[in-house]
Amino acid sequence: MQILESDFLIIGGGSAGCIAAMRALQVAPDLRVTIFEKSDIVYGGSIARGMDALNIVAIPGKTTAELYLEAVRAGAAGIVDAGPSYVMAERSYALLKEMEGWGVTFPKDENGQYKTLKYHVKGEFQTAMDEPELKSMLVKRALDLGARPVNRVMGLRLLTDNGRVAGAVGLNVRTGQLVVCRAKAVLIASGGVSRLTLPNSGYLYGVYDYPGNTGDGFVMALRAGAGVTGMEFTQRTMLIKDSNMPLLAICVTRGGKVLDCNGTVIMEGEVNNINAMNEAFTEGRGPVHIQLSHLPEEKIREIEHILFTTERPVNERFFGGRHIDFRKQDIELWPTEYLLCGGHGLAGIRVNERAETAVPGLYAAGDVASVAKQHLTGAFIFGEIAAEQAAGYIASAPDTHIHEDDVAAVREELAERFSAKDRDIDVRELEHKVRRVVGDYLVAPKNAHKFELWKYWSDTFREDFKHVAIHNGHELSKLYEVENILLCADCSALAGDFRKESRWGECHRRSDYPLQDDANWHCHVVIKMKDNHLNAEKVRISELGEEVSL
Amino acid sequence: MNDSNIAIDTTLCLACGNCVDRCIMDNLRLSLPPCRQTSPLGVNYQGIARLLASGKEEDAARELRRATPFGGILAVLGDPYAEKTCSRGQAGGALRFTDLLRYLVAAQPGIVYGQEPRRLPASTKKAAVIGAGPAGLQAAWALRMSGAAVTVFEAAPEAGMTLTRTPAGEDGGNEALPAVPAEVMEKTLAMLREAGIRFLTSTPKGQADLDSLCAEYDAVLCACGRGAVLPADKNGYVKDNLFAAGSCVKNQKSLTPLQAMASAAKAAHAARNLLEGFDIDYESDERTARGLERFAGLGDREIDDLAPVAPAGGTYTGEEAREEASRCLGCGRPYERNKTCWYCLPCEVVCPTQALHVRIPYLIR
Repeated sequence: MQILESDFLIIGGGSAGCIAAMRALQVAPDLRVTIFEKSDIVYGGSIARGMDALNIVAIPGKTTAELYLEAVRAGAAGIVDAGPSYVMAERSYALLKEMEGWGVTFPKDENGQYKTLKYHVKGEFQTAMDEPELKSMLVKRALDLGARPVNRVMGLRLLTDNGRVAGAVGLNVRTGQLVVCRAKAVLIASGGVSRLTLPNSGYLYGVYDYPGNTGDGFVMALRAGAGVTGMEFTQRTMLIKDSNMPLLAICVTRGGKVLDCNGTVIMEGEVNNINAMNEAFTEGRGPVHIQLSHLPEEKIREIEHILFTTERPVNERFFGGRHIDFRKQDIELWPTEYLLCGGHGLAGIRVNERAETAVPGLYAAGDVASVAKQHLTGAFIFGEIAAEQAAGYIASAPDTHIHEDDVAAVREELAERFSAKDRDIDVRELEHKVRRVVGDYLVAPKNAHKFELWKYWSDTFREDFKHVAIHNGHELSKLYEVENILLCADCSALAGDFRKESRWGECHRRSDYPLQDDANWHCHVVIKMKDNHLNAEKVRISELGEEVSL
Repeated sequence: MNDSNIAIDTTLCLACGNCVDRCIMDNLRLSLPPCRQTSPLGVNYQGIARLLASGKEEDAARELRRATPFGGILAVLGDPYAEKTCSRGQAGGALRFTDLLRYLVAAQPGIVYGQEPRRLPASTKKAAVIGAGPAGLQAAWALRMSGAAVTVFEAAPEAGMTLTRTPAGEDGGNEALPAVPAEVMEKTLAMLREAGIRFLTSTPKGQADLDSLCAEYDAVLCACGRGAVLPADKNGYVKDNLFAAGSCVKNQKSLTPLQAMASAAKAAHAARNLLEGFDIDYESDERTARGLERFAGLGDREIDDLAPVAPAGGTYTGEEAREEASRCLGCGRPYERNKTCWYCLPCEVVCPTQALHVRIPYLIR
């Protein structure tokens, strides 16, 4: 058995993974740092190219970590562990300064102050940034320090040794080959689930968040014994109809107005009430629009500049193709598909303020980790924290042992999927159907009857997996992705059924328990896996100074 | 879902594979032009020809350098394989790739014999190569590019003498093979030395020394010609950390230099897998095969015996080279194999000639 020897394995080379590699090599330059990246590391991940803002920065003199904690508590309806969110806000200004050191531009106003925008209920934490090549910049720094990327490899299974993490098995998504990596510490930074349900276009990859994110990290963590939480927080947002590309904050924070079909203003000046858009839509006052035509030419150009260069440059082609000029026409918004994501929502692997999970040596950061609504700031800061912690852990941890039987089991599973017998389902159609049924039963309005119906489909799909025709490594990776989506959907169904109340507006609205019930449900719902069986339990919310129970 | 989101302007495409490498959805694959498929060193002649035709001589030289550091030697030996399969052969005669190479080497020696700007991976591994003939040089370069510290042992007083002194195949069979001028060899060796490869000349190592070398080095690749006889499999693997390439492989018929180099590339790849601890056929990172389905020209295929290509006469002028290069039909191009486009644009950003245009998928337009 060939083994790729490493000290610190990072699964996922996006924002969190790359900064973790950088940080690990800054604090321990001799560390062997390996990155499994499912795509190609230069542009892979949710930011792909650039970003227009660093979402959460507590700028001294302007806002504080305490205020951020209040803001995120309000945004997450109280389901927040104080420690991680507080630590993130506390370190956020130092992060901004560090990024300036890389050459990232944070524009300032005429008084020399950073340009901030109000996105949260309280405080202006969103800080403008102008860096269309942020990702490639980050990658270059990580690689220059000696991190070793292994492209086209997705994380498949973690390997453990006496309860601690010992490495991982990855799958080359082109060849279908397995890559076994030994490591003393592993960071999962592989994103959320962006392909949970179908987008309204029906195009499998026409989703808002990077479609490579299929919950691989949730599944690896669950199987290794870590907990996941917030899986009932099935989130969608209101974005450009059909293209599902982001623009709301960019427009509203620059003077755009969100209107319902009667012309009533839903949002103006601040992006603080996403639920109001959802409500307008659900109540039939949709579709909602963003109006920019009242803005001066200069502002419209600024918005166009960001949309067409930094955020998703292809926006220009989309609007051009539909003959939409922001000076004359409104932008129609429509709900996106649903996603599970720690960056924008609450779903994630349970972590504490040290980015640790329940498994010794296993860390999680970014959209795959459960730091509520952490956005890019959280990915960067918890990537750094995970690296600092892992470097310390590696220094004192004994060598790990890889059990050949564990690898052989993965190899057998893989060989079984390649066997040609009775296989006639196309993996794309399988994915289409799984995501359609998830959209039918596991999103608002939710109820116990729907969760019951889901169980039939969950079992049926597991049977269908045995009949999917696989012709090459790429299709094999797609099958694993759909299996991961399904297990995440099972977690969502279990957690959604378990939480017998409604909370977070459309993100968890139950028709059979329509009210928020703080007396019974002001808590996390944490899911763990034992003997291939998922269990949900209530876990109390930790206050500042208390340990997060993993 | 047959709609194509990625439109390729085939009159501009260099078939360089940048878009395939950078696609974050693993959507694209490269359809290789026949010249590159058959070129024993995997040279992208389509890219070179297109760049030359548009007057971008330096870029053309870089494309050559990207495939091989042995452009100077290749220009002398010629590449009959690429010319034999050129589609233009059906209409007015194959492109004279060898003459184009000769022109390029003469016009841009700084690039052809220069260092390729790439970051070598950090490695603490040591590799030994026995023999500094065509196979040994190719193996040494490939191993060095994987980050290993490489030492080449050569019995003769200078490296590369089988190419410079013997105007024939390794055992004197091929009369027509041109000798590589000493100046070409010197420049090539200088570049290899500068890349960190250590040459120990007048240091013969043979079959009897293999055990001690294998104990001292992490990998040993024997390419000493007829000095040893080693039973190797088709990938050049002998046993443990020992590999063999070229005519020291048991039952190997005599090889032309290009055949020997192709065999060495394969064996070096196997040795690289051993050194790195895992086996990925391609695209483990930036230094491997640039998104190709297989190593272009370096796959399992046998390299036929082909007569060398006679030079056209004098060296092309710039005008003649551009004219000849402009005859390229551009057979290679990327294509969407998996229909997973996220219309995210990195492919377009990295395309050097704006040959690629990303459309919004029909379902979304």
